[in-house]
Amino acid sequence: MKPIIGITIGDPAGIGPEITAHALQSPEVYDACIPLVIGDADVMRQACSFVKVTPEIRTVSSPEEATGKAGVIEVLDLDNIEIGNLKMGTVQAPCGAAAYEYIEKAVHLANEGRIHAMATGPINKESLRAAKVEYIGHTEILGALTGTSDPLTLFQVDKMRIFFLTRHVSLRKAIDLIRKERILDYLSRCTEALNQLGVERKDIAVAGLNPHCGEHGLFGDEDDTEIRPAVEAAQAAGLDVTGPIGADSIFHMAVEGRFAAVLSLYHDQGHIAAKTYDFYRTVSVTLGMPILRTSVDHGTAFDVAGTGKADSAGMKEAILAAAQYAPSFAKRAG
Amino acid sequence: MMKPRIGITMGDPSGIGPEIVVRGVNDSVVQRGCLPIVIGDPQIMSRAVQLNKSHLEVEVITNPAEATDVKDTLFVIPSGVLGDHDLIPGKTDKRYGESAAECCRDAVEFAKRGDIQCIVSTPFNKESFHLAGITSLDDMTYFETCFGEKDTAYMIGEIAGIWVTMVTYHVGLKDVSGLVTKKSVVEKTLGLHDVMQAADVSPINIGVAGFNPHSGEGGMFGTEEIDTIIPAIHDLHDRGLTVSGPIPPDSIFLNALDGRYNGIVSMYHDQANIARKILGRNDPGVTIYVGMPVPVLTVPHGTAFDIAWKGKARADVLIKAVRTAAKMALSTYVVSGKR
Repeated sequence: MKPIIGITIGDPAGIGPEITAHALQSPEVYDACIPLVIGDADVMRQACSFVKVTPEIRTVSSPEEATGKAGVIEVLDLDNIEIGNLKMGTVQAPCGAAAYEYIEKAVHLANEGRIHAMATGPINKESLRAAKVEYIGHTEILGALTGTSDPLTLFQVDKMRIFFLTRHVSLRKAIDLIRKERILDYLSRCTEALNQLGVERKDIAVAGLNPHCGEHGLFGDEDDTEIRPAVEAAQAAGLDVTGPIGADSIFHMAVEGRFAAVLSLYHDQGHIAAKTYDFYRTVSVTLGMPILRTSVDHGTAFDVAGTGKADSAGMKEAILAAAQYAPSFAKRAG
Repeated sequence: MMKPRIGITMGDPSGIGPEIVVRGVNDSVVQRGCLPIVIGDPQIMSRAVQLNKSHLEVEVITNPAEATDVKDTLFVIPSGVLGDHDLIPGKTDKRYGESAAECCRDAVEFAKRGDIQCIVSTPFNKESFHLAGITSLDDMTYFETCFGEKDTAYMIGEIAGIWVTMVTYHVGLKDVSGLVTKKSVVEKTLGLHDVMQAADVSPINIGVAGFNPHSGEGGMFGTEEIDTIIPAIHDLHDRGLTVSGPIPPDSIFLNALDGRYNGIVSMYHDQANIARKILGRNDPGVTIYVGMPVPVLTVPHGTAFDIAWKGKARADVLIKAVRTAAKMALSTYVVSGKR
């Protein structure tokens, strides 16, 4: 049975609806899953006109009604946007509120097991604020709705998978957080996450912190004092782990499929690699929650919203990744 | 038109250096643009000519001025001569390290005297260098030492038409924040601008990277952007340069690929090199050390011991380096990195 993937359209004034409409033109998506758009039917109709496609838009009132028939966009219509008032590419409180409701609905359905994973379109921080939604992004909203405090982020593009030890902190603070205990903890969480996703290989390579891993302490010693001991401890605990490997080589090796995943020590290490390799097809997977969520790695792109110019490759990849991992995730979640 | 004289070091005799040098010299664009002069062991270079089944004939000279604009000749100035030693490919050895080092030193001497206008350095082996008692941190520092300079050299790389420099290089990441100052950012950006001018890049659009994730998001994650990078950019604007930034470190290469910038100032080694290595899968770039009396160009690969002396090594990167050297040497701009 194909998994049902709930696709939240994100901020109605952003590119989310149109990239969703465009991604759903791909037969590959319907081969892999039953895509269910969680949003507003009028917004989706308008989005189809932006990208000049004419699929049937069918509204459903529950996920169980979705059939996954190719050529049909099935929308769980929350009917929360007055289409006549919608201005593309601008911050509007009703859009922030609507975007939040799509996510809330998807989490609710995923919790009940009525959809098997969610793929999320981009939301806008300022629109959320205008709607008095007190969260700055998806991660925080999902954390609150699912009662998770420290979700794990995985980036994926082609053969490269990247986990992050630290993310939105200053680089100096990130360096302070690179401690043996934290790395060890993350290595076991990342291994568990690969398990949960049903990834066959479990080998994780840890990136080095300093240029060429510090060349034996010549420039920086954290690779020797924190990272290597953590890797050795993880190996002793039976995990399939290597490293540290120089950050300027490890991602290039990951692209060649040399490891199941890389543990990036700080935000830009992994982000530079994924975005430079293929920005448009990089997908983010949020783990460590009771539900599975994938997303695009870009924002609402208000400057091109409504023009049909936005690249939908990331949205398609996000839906496909959700479909790929949902069966294993559901099995292990029991 | 006077052709510039480019000194090409032989590199580690046991690596792929000699064979790619032969092919580099043989390149028609190189021949048209400069007088390439190899600084190395004539006997080994003859062997490399044979290996390549090249029609070039080795002619031994003692001074770069003796090289003339004739076809089918590989001018070699003896340096790092191994004698009748039976060369073993793909091996670390004290003698190979000494040989490669002597080629570098001699090239520097010719450059100091103004006999060559650029040096192209072919890969040498770090371990053999160490066996030969050379303890420099990296090849850039070794050239710096040979020139009798200290802390003046820095690197600029070109890849996929994007010119990149780094404000800090081989230092620990936790020391980078302290080394990213208004002065260092301004200096490195000016140096990059000079080199791009010398290489005939026009117009020049430089993007300066931030230091923190999302360039700190207005101070939310770090203040290096507010404290030093933004003031440096203002200073550069006052000097009339087209410079933008701070650009989020994870987007700057992407934006450059989209054509927004052709120059990038990175704050630290891996910020630039993670992206350069990813891009290098399709287009290996060249590396230029500036801040010394003449630019030193090198290739971003090593001695490739596993394929050395098998005639399999690709020379395209070295060829690109020599072509770039010729262009830079011709330029009216003085690429000393010192203003």
